[in-house]
Amino acid sequence: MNYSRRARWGRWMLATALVITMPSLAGCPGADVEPEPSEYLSGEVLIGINTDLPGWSEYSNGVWQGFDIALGRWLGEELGFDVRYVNLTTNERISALEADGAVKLVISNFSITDNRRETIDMVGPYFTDSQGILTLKTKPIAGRKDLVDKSVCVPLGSTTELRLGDMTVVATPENTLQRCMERLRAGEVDAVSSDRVILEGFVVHGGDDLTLAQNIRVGSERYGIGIPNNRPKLCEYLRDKLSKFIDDKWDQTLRDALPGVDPKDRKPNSAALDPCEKPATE
Amino acid sequence: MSTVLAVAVTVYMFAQPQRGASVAAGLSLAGTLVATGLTIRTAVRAQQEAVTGESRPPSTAVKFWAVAGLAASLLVPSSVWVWNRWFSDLDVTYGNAVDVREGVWTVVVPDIDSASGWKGGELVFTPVLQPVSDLSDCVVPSILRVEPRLDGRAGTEVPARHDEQSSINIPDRTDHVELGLQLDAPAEQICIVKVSFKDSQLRR
Repeated sequence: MNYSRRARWGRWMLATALVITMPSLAGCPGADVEPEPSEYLSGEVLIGINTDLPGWSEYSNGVWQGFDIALGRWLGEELGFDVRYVNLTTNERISALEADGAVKLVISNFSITDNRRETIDMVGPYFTDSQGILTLKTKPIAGRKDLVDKSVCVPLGSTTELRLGDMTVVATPENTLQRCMERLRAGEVDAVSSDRVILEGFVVHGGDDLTLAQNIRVGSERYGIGIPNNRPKLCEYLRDKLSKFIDDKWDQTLRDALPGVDPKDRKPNSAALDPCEKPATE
Repeated sequence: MSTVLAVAVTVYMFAQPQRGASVAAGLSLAGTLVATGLTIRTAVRAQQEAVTGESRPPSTAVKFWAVAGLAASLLVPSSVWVWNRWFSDLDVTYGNAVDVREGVWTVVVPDIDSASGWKGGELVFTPVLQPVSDLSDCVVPSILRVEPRLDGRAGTEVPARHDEQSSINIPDRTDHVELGLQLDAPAEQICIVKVSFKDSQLRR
């Protein structure tokens, strides 16, 4: 075979190879592969929690305690990782999950919403509730009409803040609920709004001067564990464990963390947790 | 002859927008194979003629391949047409997204290509739910109840979910299909979502 013939043969081979490989390369998906959940949740795992919520996540006498703390600790024991809690304000929860490595999970009275699912994945629910209103006993509020034009303190970036938009009130956002309580007791706001079970936590833990408006229940809040977006394997991994937690530990955890709080309508059905989302496709 | 054929195929593809792509793909594959074969053959032949200085009439092999190419360009579109008319899956569309809520049926009418004369099959679809409120918690946890209404008669309800494929069997000799949609949402909330469908086909 002379040189020109070999060259022509080579060009044909090259062209054929390109024709065969180009279409398959064009269809290749991105290389964003989800890590194995057992690897992702190993060693020391940073869990984002709410700051100083009585009954949910409170640091007292050198010990973390509360419902969300107990859930994080139980997951660590079940899955074999060491927990390190990271304080987050309500408004920081999503950005902490989006920032690479800031936290791996968020367990912080995190209400599941369709909009939040656009940027993160959520596993749950592990608690269901509705929104309520807390006031001083000396200035009680009986119903919605008593709330008109009242100043109501809410955590910044919460579903509560958005839901108040439907009411004729003066919404006063603060970074933390503790700060809202300080303003309520100082007479700077008329009421504090959040999930009823969080407000009950403030009443149970040293809130003799506080009262929860019995006739005000707004919307539906279902708490989930926040995880980074597009993590279906991690979601399934945690979903199985959450189901076990609800069956085996939920009642005792509520009694320990929030004594006297009624579990009725708050315990989810462990067999009907939300399905895990599929990864978003381009 | 070839011009008439090309015009006819083009008109056919314009008249069948949902199938134009597959017909064009079939034709282009056949055309590419034939054209490549003839080009190679002509190039080799021209080189041989340049070396020998002789000009010869087309050989039997060239005649054979020319006839084969012509036959293929006639057979491929007609085969594609026969396949589409009687055997292939049919694309189904549903128009704009509709609002669906709890306790109220919303009806959508699947637009199945009537020109194909379909006679039943398996209607496959993937519902896509979109929230209409900033605070809703409806898309992932809700169950979309899909009730087929075949020639006015209610069929067996099918539970469907966001972004998961579902299917409904449509018996032979059904003329008209409607789907009733209703939402089952968790907890005490008023859920309204916009529902559209993707990847919907009638499998025959």
